[in-house]
This record gives sequence, structure tokens and C-alpha cells, in this order.
Amino acid sequence: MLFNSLDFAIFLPIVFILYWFVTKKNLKLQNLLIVISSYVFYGWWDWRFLSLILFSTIIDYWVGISLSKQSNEKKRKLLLWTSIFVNLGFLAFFKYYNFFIDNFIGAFSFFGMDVSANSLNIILPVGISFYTFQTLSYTIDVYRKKLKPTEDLIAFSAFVSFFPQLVAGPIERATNLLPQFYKKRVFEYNKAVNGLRQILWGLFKKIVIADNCAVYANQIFNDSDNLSGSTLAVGAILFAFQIYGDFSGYSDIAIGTSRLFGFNLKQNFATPYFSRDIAEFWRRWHISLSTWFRDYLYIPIGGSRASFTKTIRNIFIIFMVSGFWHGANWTFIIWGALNALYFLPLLLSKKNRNHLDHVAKGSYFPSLKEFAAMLSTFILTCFAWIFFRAENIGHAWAYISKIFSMSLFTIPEVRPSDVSILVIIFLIIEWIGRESQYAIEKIGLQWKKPIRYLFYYTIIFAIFWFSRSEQEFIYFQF
Amino acid sequence: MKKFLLNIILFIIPIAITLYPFDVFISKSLAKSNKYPGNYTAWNDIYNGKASSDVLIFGSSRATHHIDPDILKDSLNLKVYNFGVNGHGFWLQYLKYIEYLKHNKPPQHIIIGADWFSLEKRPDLYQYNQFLPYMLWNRTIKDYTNSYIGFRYLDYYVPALRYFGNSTAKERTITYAFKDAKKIKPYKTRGYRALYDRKKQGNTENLSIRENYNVKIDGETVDLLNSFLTDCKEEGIQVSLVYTPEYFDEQRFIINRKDAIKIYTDLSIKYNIPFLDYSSGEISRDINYFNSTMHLNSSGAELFSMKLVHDLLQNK
Repeated sequence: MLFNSLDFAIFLPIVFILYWFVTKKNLKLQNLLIVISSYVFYGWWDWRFLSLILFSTIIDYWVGISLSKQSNEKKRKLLLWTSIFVNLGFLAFFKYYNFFIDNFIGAFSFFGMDVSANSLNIILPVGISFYTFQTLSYTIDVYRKKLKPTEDLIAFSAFVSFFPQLVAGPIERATNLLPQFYKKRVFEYNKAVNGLRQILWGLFKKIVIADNCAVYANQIFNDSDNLSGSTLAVGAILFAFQIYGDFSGYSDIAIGTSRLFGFNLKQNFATPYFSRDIAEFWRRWHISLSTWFRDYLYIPIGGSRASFTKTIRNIFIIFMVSGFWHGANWTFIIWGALNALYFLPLLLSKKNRNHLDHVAKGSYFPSLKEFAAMLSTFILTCFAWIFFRAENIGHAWAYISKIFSMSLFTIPEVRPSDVSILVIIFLIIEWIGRESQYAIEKIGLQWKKPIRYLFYYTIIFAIFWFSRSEQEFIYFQF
Repeated sequence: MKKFLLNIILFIIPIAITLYPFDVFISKSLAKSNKYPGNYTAWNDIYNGKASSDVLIFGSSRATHHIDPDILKDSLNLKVYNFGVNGHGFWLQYLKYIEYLKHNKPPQHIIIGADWFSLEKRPDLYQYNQFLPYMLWNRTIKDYTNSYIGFRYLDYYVPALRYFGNSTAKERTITYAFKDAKKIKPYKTRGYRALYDRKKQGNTENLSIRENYNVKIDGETVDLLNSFLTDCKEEGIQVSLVYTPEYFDEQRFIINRKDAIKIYTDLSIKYNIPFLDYSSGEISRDINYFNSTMHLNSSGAELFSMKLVHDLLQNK
């Protein structure tokens, strides 16, 4: 079920009413309702893959309890690896099997050896990368004794399958989300209204910004051979806004929906395109994944406290694995490596934590220096996005080569003036609300009700007017 | 919670109130459009009661582009309207007929484009935009279109919902909203539009890649055709089944074409109505009269319309 579909518009109020009116008095029943709703939500897309979620849930629930009863370190490790093996096994099979087979064959044929192996026609279960990482965080935290394992199977199932963030995150930590299923939820007016406001902004980002940028970005990327360098540069910029609007829009809807049910999810995006360097960008982009990799991969392998060469190695590992997490294609790995290259000088010169606060805090406009820093970071990010969006390395290379040709100085063949205006309005609102959890969180709260409502009606009208045919969220494929 | 629900309701009320006028605004603007596929003129004439004619032509695009109502009008001295529905079989052609009857006077004569294509029912609602301005709370349109993949249940009942996500409809709304409908040249003249002449090679280019095709004759459509013919007989409306020209070399790819012909032959006998088959006639053997192997060009349509009117007069 898509957040931007009519199905969800009907589904959400039904679950909301059942949740707060029918099952309100019984926590277990309320959690059970979440599990059932989540399974319906997921099964709407393909019910067959519910078995994967169910299997993952049971295994990790069992591993969690077994870990708490086990004091023998070897056996505890074995239990942890069981969970890792099952979760990453699913991921490896459904997402990476064909990639490995194809590269295996390619490598052998490079050395003149003929190897035959069949790739399979595998459907990638939606959101598998998200929920496997979420459940893994649970078993790892239990193993590390940072979290007490749960004995409440329904609460744990609800944690694994919680529908707002099941298919595209934010990837929640068990330490944050699971305890919320143990406590009685009380309806809070302000929290619910805040949730609705965030849903509205998420829909705006997805439907108005991402889907409209996608029309031009797809046109340009699909026909890159026949377009000028300047047009391809426009395409890369539009893709940057497409992916941001798409993914952060999803996160906003997920967080807002959770608020309606009394839950708090962690912020996943914090105006990343206003970052002044790449390190800041990665603290603001897909925060739940970045911190996941930091805590469960980067720090365990030594992080930045190892030797000089090991630190470089660690940086490349975390960025390349993060790239590979996005998809079974070399383009994602290169995208990750490129970001590592951007990041490394900052880390080595110890400037990676220069910008921990919001840009131009307390002022209306950035300084010239800040503006230049934001612009250069944005350009670097757009350049990396070319690899992320390209069909393959060859496509990315041809795209970049064309950008760096004389045709960069020609007038673009594709001039998306309508979308440009939308993006500018969007950036202004994001700038105004850059210190909030999401752009319109605080905008208009001091205004009189009719004016504030008018502001929301304008957003709703824009969503209606600029909507295009129902588009899937990009991150579903990851 | 009470305050929350109350505020939600208060917030939604203005939206709900403006939805209907907003729907009317979009629908009326869209209905003025004369851009491709531009089927709106015929629908507007139907709903405004301006389509009343003595002779009605029904069929697919092979009726739309093959039979010129003006030629029939001049020779028969009767008002003629072509209600061909692009890309659809008799199921949706019939929808146009019953909507016509609600707002216009019954015809004396109906010409049915009787070919294999009209006996099929495709799964998707091809050119669904043509229904948008008229479908809100229209039960007949719902009954005849809801079996196709196209509209959702609520699209028929909730104002403006069907325009959500439809960028074409909204772009056309902007283009036509403030234009004078009378000054907009219709895309089709009384439902007819001539197709341009392509070079000989262009006309047959699809044959080199054409694959054999088995017509999926739809039982419900055949039943509907039967009941339609029964009604016409009871009401004294003359019906002629007409298989309009089809390029001869195209016909060999349609494996069970004979089954379709047999259905029409049987109906012709059963209801004692003429079945005029031009698929083996002279026009069908000359590629110069075609735009594609399935559609006549303007000169082919002109010649065919004259031949048809001649034969109709002889059959009288």
C-alpha cells in the first residue's frame, strides 16, 4: 500500500478509529491491531512475502530470549550469528543473488574460463533492507546487553512490522521503538496535530516536488545520449530534488503517521541540502541508516580510532557497504566510494565535526561563505547522485563525460520552468523551517487560525493540482 | 480526542464544500478540449441534447474514421451522427447509445460497425479521459465502465477525486478554462474525423511485424448486441450491420476471423437485417485507400461512405 494512494487514505482512518476507540483500553489488543494492520498494509503489495517478516520475527524473538538465558559466550555468539545469518541470508538471496552470480560469471570469463550458472527471476520483497536491519539492531543490542529481550511476542511483532516505517524506514532502533510498545499510549492532541502536519508536508514533498522532478529527471537520464551537457546537469540537479523529496517525504509521512498512534520515531532527514560539507550532509541525510552503520559496523571495525590506514579502510568500508545496501549494482558501490572520497579529507584534517549546528542559526540569510559552502556541497552531492541514478557504470560515465564537454555552456534543451518554481518555493519553506524537525512544523503556529488553515489549504491544493499518476517511492526498491 | 475530531471535521468542511464546484470547473473546462483524443464534442452533444439525428453510426475507430456523416446526410437527406468509440468494442459503444437516448430523440436507422474488433472487450479503459467530465454520480457510465481497469469505485462518487493524479486533465483545464466554447473548432465533425494519407509503405509497415491473432470474442458483448437488436426491432429502429473495409493482407493474421463473421451473419438472419461486408470488396484490396491496414484514409473513407449510402438506399 502506498502512502500516496487512495487505499491508504481509507486504511489510515479505519486503523486510527479502531486503535483509539475499540482497542484503547487493552494494550495487548492495541499492539495486536498494529500487527494485523501492518500485515494488511504489507500484504496489500504481496501477501506471499509476509512469511519472510513472520519468519524473521520468530527467529529474532527466539534469539533474543535465548541470549538472555545463555551465559556461555561461544553459544551467545552462535545465537547472534544465527540471527545475522538468517536476516542477511534473506537479504543476500532476494537482493544480491543475481548480482553475485553475474559478477562471478563475468570474472571467470575475463580470465577465459567458461562458467555456466543461471540467474534467477527473483522478486525483491519491498522494504526487506529496512526491516532486516531493524530486527538485526534488536539482536545485536540484546547480545551487547544494551537491551533486555522482550518476552512479549505481540509487542515484538509490532516492532518489526510497524506499518508506518515498515517498507522504507526510518530504520528504528529497538532501544527507541520497542519500549514504546510496552507502555500505554495516551492520545495527545498536539502530538496528533503535529503528526498530521508532518504527513501533509511529506505528501507535498513526494507528490509536488519528487514526482514532478521525476518527469524531467527520467526524461533526461533516459535520453542522455542525445542531450547536451547543460541539460544533463539540469537532470542531475532535478534528480537530487526528486530523491530528496521522495525519500524524506516518505519519512515525514511515516513519522507523522506514527505520531497519530502515539509513537515517536527518530528524525531521518534534517535539511541535508543546506549542509556546508559532506560530513554535515551525512549527519543530515538518511540519519537512521548512517547511524546504524556507524554503530553496528564502523565502530566495531575500529572507526576513526584505529591507525591511519585502517581509518581510511574503515571509511571506505562503511560508505561502500552503505552504497551496496541501496542496490545490487556497481553504481551504488561507486556512489558510496565517491562519498568516502569526499569525506576522507575532512576526517583526516579533523574538520568533519565543524558544522554541528544549523546553518545561519538565528539569521534570515546565510553569509556568503556559508552560501558558497552549501553550494559546493550540493554540487558534489549532485555529481555523486549521477552514479546513484545511472543504469550502469557505462551510463554514468557517458553522462559525466557529456557534462564536462563544451555543450555544458549551451542553453539546455529541457527547461523545466514550472518545476523550477516549485523547487524554489520548496527551498524557501525548507530554509525557513530548517531548525525544526520538518519544515512546516512551526510555520504559522502563531498565526490566526483562518490564516494558518489557508496556508494548509494552499498546500493541499498544490498537492491536488500538481499530482501526477500514482508513483512508487524510490526507496521501495532498496 | 473530541477536540481533535472536531477540528478535523471543521478543517475538512470547507474542502468538502468546494470540491463540487471545483469538479464542475474542471469538468466544464476539460469538456471544451479539442485536443487528441478529443471525443468530448460528441459527448457534449449527447448530454446537451444536440445530437438528435435520424441515422446514428456506432462502432470503433473503424467507424469514426470510415463513415462520413456529411456524405450520408447529403444523399439520404437525413441528420446523421457518427458515435464511433476509439479502441473499444460494442460494450462501450452501447453506453454511448443509451446515454444518447436519455437526452435525444430516438433514431430511425442505426449503422453498426460490425467487425471482429467490436466483439472484443479489452481489459483497460482505453482513452478513459473521455468519461471524466460526465461520470460523477452517473450510474450508467459507472455500470458500463467499472468492469475495466481504469476508475476506482470512489471516482464515480467523490467530486474531483478522479482528477487527482491526472496531469493531462488539469493541463487542459488551464488551457480551455476561459476560452469560448463556440470558438473552439471541434476535433471531429459530427463524430467523424478523416485520417491523413500516408505513403504506401507507411500504410503496411505493421504487416512485417504483425503476428497471428486470435480474437477473444466476449460472450457478454455478444449478448448485449443481441438484446440491443431485439430492442431496436421492438421499437421499429432499422439496423444495418456493416463490416467496413479492412486491408485484405491484414485479414490473414486474424485466425478466427470467420467466427466473428459468422456471428454477424447469424444475427443478420435472426433479426432480418442487412449485413454488408466490405472486407472483401475493391476498397479493401487497394492500399492507396488506407492510412493503416485497419483504417481508411480520407479518400478511402470518402469513397466508402458514398458506396455505403448507395448500398443502403438499394437495401431500403
